[in-house]
Amino acid sequence: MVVLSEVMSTRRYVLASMAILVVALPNAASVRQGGTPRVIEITAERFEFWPPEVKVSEGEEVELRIRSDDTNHGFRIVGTGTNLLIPKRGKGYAVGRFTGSRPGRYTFECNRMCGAGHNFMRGEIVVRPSATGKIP
Amino acid sequence: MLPSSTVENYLKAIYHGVASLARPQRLLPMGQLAAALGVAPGTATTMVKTLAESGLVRYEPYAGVALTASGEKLAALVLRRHRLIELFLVRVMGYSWDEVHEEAEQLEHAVTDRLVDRMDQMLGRPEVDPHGDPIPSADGRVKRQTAESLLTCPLQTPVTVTRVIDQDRAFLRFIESHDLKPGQSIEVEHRDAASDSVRVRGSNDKRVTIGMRAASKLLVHVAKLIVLVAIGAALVVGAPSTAAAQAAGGDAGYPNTGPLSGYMDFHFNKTDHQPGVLDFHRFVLLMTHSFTPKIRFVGELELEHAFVEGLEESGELELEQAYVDFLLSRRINVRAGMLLMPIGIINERHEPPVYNGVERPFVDTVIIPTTWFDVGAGVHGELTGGFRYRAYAVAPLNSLQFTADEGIREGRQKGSNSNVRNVAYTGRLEYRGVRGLTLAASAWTGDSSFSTPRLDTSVTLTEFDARYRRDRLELRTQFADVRIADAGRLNDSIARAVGIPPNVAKRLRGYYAEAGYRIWNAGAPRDLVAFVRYENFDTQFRMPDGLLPLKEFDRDAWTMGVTYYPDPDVAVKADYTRLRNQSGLFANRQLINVGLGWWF
Repeated sequence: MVVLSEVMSTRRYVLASMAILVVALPNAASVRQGGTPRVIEITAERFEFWPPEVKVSEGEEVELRIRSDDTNHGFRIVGTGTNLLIPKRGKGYAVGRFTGSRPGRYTFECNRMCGAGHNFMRGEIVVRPSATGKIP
Repeated sequence: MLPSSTVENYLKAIYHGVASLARPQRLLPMGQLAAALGVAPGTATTMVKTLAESGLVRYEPYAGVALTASGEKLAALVLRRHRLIELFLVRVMGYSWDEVHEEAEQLEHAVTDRLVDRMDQMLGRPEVDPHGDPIPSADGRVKRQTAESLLTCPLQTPVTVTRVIDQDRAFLRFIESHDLKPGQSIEVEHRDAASDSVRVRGSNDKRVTIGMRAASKLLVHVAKLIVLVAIGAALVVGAPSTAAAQAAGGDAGYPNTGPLSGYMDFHFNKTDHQPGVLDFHRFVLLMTHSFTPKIRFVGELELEHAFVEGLEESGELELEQAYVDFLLSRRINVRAGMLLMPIGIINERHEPPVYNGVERPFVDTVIIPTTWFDVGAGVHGELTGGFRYRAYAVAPLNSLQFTADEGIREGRQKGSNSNVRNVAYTGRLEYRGVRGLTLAASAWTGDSSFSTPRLDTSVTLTEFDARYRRDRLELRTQFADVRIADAGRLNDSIARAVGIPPNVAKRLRGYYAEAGYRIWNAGAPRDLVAFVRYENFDTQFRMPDGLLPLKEFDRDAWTMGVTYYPDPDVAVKADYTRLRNQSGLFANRQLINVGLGWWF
């Protein structure tokens, strides 16, 4: 680390340190760190998402990391601009952000033809109100 | 000694410079190198001479410079660091793709190989960076890309953007704002040499006109199956302005019409001492279209055994699916058209990379007649607690076509003038409340005696199946039971019609269990899966009074084999089956199958 600090500017040092931190903590999925959004891991596989339901608090921003266990899939949150291509198994993952600005249920679905059961491949993000209340 | 950042920058500049030269020019002129690095020509020449002494470049005075093999490898490793850092910054740290180049320029000289390897691993061994540039491997090899630019690709043909070769921030922002990033599906509609412009139609029918220079910086991949589109062209072309209107209304993402998907199966089959056969078993094209985000079409056209004989009875070009889905809510949706019966594991999940074995399980052939499809309508959706359902009303089977060895298989009407004097009902309930586990029960029931109205040959099929997949292990099991009412009189009727009693059973039964294990992972995404399956199936399980079961149709089979996935969508399969029967008159059989199946 001393050697690194000698060759890097302060900004680069911070950046690289953050990179090391993230690399070293692959299981940081459900840990909220400072102001960073909570990371939610989603797995796509013909013809389902796991978990099929994701819970988010009102006002909370989350980072969705969606990985495929087989072919390419799509990830679209209905009614929003989120429209991602999920790479094939072993070729990384797609990252999207979602902010639960209003309580409710938001359907997400595969929007890239993935086989005979493609239209069944859907899930839901449930945004819970910050105060106790029913989700519409 | 580790190379300094200056050395690395020189090597990288020579690498890029030589790559941009028109063939057969092999040496990068010193003036071009100096300009690329922003240094005086004399400075560049001095440095290049030093690099030549280190064996990293080959320098020819008054001609130019090129990399040696060791110099090329070092340059590739710098590019590897640069591109992995860019991808890491975008995917993990939330940078936008237009701001990572400068950061990576600095960091590429500072990070260790260990850190870069961890980034590579964490990113899932990616092949390209956010701009579509190939990421060299850890030993400095660069995967060759074959791509055309928007200046050379075919007109009015769907292509996919694969790479943007200019990393200027303003240009990248322009590309992003017009939905021309790598991965986007577009078409070049028109090129106009007079005005130096190219008109591009992007997703959601958005059109943009760009200059020839900008067009030359966008590399694209042309879909390889364009020639096949003719079959489905009418369904695909012109997908629709309605959808553009929807997208403009703030519901981006649809239509996403494919344009075309499909799967294929190419087999070698050998039974006992008979000559082997090569068979292009299935060639299937799937088409999708979204009229609106909630009204969607799915079609599946299958050509079996690569040949249609021309006669209606023996033709093997099948329309396996063609339905419209009205997506109302997660709980309930309506579907109508040509439907797959929601029975068993394989019927709705029959893409070759999805199941083990070159051929489908016997139970999914002679007990459940996959691929089983017919016309009908119904509902599907998800319930609370991890349950999912389908329930359809469909055309019935034709019991006059039932046989002793394949049970109800030949009774499928396949939506070809299907007689609906009676209606059949089918449904499936799945539980998916535990990760990796699917438990399901399905049923099909219907009066199948429309050809013999005086009979009551109702058919009832019940089925249970389970799949469990976790890490390297996948387990499957399925049980299916078919009951045919009034089978005694059905045999009499068929015997009167064709002269031979068909020996149709009143009950058929089959089950199987399979275990698959991912025994070898050659670095994602390549995998090798080994599997073993035991099946027991009897199409003469219970006979009507007065008929004896034909014991050669009481069978069991052990199948074992491997599936190699060079890509998650390509399956190379090989297996061995020992098929036994309970008759003392008919020999047991051994089958060797090799297959290649793929999905796109």
